[in-house]
Amino acid sequence: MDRFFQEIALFAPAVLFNIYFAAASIPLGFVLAVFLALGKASSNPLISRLSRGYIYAFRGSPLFIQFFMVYSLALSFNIGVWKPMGISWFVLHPLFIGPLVLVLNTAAYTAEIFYGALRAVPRGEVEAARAYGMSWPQQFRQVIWPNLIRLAWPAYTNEVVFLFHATAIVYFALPVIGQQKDLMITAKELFERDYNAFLHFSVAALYFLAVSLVVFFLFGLVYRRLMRHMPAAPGLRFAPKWLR
Amino acid sequence: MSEDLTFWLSYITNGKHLTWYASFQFTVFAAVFGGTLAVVFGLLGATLKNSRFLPLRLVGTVYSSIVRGVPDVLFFLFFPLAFEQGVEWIIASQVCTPDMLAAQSAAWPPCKEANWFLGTPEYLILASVSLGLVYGAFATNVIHGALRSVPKGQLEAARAYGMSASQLLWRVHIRQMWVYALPGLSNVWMLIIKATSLLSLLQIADIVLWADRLGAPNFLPAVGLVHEDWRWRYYLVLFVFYILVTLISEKVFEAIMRRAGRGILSEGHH
Repeated sequence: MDRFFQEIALFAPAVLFNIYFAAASIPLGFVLAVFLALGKASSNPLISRLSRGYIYAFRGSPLFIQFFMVYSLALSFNIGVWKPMGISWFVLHPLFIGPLVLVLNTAAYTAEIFYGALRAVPRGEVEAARAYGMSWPQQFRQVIWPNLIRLAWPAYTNEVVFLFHATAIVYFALPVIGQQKDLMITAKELFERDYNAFLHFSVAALYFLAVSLVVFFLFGLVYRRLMRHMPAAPGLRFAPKWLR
Repeated sequence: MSEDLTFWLSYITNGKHLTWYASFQFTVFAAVFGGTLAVVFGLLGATLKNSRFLPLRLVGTVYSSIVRGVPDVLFFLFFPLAFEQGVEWIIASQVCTPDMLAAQSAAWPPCKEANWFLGTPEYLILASVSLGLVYGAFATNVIHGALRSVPKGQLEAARAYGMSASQLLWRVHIRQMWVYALPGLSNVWMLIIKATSLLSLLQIADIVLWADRLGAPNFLPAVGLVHEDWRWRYYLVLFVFYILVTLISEKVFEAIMRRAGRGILSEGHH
């Protein structure tokens, strides 16, 4: 039992890296996803096709490959671009590339969620807004967005948890620098030292479970706030669909 | 122009590239075998979840929620390692003598004689079972939901015909379940396809590992630098390959769903 608590303490710095990767990519991914979703719903065929293609490509290919692809692409520009500019230490750092790829990935998944929600926004409300003479930005701000985010929030919560799970493969694709190790690398290195698969991997799993529950809790609070005007707020389903 | 063409033709058909093309079989095998196992484990898990016996129901629920609650990579790595250790532990308890145990300096296995060497085929099978276990948990949920979507009237009618419980399950319930399970199972299949890119983590020389090797800067003493770092090109090929596989799978599943849904009224079919 003592060993177990030591192990939990040993993993504490590691989980910060997973949290960092998720936290750094969520805001930007969110914003990018809104634009992609609007792009996919756009009446301009070029914008619509491009957004559609982007979303399909990044949802249809493994994140693992996306990591390798972006990282090797960044590497190939190293001598020509990053080195002369003196920023290669930054651009090639896993703490930069990791969130970058996660943003590209989660933006596609989130955009699909937002696109679905966008199509589910009640037509009548939009028509009413138009009848009031609202301009498009006004319509979006006053009518479309509040509806969209409420419809999308439960699915978006799932996506955030999934993104957090996806941070487990960051360091399998990118180089580990010094002591910057996430949960999986820590578990793997400890395993290679004493071959106790059950202890190390279950502690890592516990951390993933714990953070996922915290995310569900926090996002549930936000959902309650979003739904505060409703007579009885429909609770965020606690057993969510983990599929995406 | 034609010289260029012959160069490229010979470049993409050289020995290393042929090995790369051959390594696609690992990915295909893992996807097909892993997918089959996922359906099997899904059926098993859903049966457990539907069981009238509480402990069994608990096993089914715990399996599907725990495995889905942790990242797939974690379980994907854990299962083969733990299985290998388990087997070695059993061998050790049979084979090892006190002398052998004393002679062993490494942490594992208990004695050298108990070491179980795993080659690519063994790891491939373990990886597929691992994929099956992980995505079987997802399939459990899908199938569990689908079993509940079968109209009650159908089951009552079967019972009224005097079918026994197992006849009802196999002849009516599971047969009608597929239509409702297919959309979810198609999602699980897409996840499995994407997870096959992780095979290289289990020391299988799969398409990802070969793309890395082929793309690395290539220098031959006889010709000089053949090419610089081309890894991104190879990864781009894999990127496109996976998108195409997803696209084709989607079309195939659409066709299957259309066929399976014949004669059944639902929102999906107009």
